[in-house]
Amino acid sequence: MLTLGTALAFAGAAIAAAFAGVGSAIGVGIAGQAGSGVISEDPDKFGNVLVLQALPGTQGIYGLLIAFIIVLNIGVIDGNIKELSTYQGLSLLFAALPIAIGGLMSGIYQGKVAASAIYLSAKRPEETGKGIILTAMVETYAVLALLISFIMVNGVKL
Amino acid sequence: MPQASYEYAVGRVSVLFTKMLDASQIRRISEAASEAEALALLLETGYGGNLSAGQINTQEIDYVIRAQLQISRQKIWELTPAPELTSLFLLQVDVHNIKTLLKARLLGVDAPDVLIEGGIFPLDFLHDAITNKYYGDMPSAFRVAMDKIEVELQHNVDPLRFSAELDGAMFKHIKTVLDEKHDNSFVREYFGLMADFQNARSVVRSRLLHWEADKLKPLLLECGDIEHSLFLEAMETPFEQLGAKLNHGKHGKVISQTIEEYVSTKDPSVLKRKMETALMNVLRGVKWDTFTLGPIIGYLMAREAEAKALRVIFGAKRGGFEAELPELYA
Repeated sequence: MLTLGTALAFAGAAIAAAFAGVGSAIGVGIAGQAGSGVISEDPDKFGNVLVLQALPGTQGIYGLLIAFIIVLNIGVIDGNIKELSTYQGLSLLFAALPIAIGGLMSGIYQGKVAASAIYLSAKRPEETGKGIILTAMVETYAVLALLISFIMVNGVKL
Repeated sequence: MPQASYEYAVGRVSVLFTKMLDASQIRRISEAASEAEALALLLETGYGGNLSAGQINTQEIDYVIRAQLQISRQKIWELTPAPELTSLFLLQVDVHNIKTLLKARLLGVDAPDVLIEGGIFPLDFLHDAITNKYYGDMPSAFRVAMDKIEVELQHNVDPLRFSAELDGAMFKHIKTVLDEKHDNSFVREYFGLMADFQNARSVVRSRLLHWEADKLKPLLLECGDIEHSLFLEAMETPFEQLGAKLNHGKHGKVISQTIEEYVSTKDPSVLKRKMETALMNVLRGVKWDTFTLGPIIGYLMAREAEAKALRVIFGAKRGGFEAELPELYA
């Protein structure tokens, strides 16, 4: 039988995957629209555009990673779901928040920076590398969020 | 089908900017030994949509420029996510077409060569409206102005008068659209500045022609920051104090400085040149606002400025004098 704690842990896994995924979807969508605009006028820019469009997609992967660790830790993968106390469940839920919120926001903003970098690449293809660096800077904060979520999830004794 | 998003539109515009003439190309065209060589250099860049020098003779440079402007206007029309606001920047094309068709009707001739595609009204629509004198399908400001012009034309033909009526209608329509859209972006600033500058120019012209304030009144355009009453009062103000008198609103300072420069130099071209610079500065201010209409309108106006520069260069070559290039966007 599932306890409230287990349900809260599921909620943590769900928000980590969903929020970070939504952030990535929006970010990749923004960059994708900018990229389609550029490619429709100059199809040779596809290579540069693809790299920049892919960058905001990492938050979704980070969210998935934390969600996966949570479900792994509570025994969903091996079919032996643990009965967690409410505090254990709440701890896992809170542990998921950094990557959920950090992934959501950084995904959207990284998408905007990626779109601007795509415009930069359209005007000055030789500066694409700088556009990639500027876009990757936003990634720092998604990585920090991932790190703290990872430490917290692994710190919860089950 | 194009997506109606700023991200997509600005992406396309970013590439289109790279296809414009750059400073070195304009300099090479300007320094060409002859008009024919300048035209060949221009066509080599792909300007005008892949026309070849064999297809065009130097007398038809205006055809090439108009072909390019038409392509640019159609691109913008196709990709803009804000058609109502964008259309305001294309209204001048429609006003030109209406004036041309009206004059052609009065002279009993056809004028297909001087009509320009790329406005908000299709040419057939305008042609039918002016031929049948039926303006019911036009926006309210234009409908009222055209009906008024038709009544006036039954008594006398005054081209200056109907030109002023149409310019007035254009700014009235712009103000209506901006109010309806609750727009407070650079679009309002751009047209407000243009209206204020044009009104200031009308005051200066009226003063030089010794007109009464009553004659100035119908020439004043709506949409500006400066009250019309101030322009009317300015008709009685000594020229030396005219700049200070019109120093009102966000751009009062630049208008005031322009008038003071005109008063000290007596060069009427100062008024137009400074207005173009000020308008271009408004567009430059939003050049990097990547998720707005700024870069999209910037491209359209950059193409217009480029066309103006080319007309000046080729005109100067034909006339055998030194070209003084107008304000460019970049």
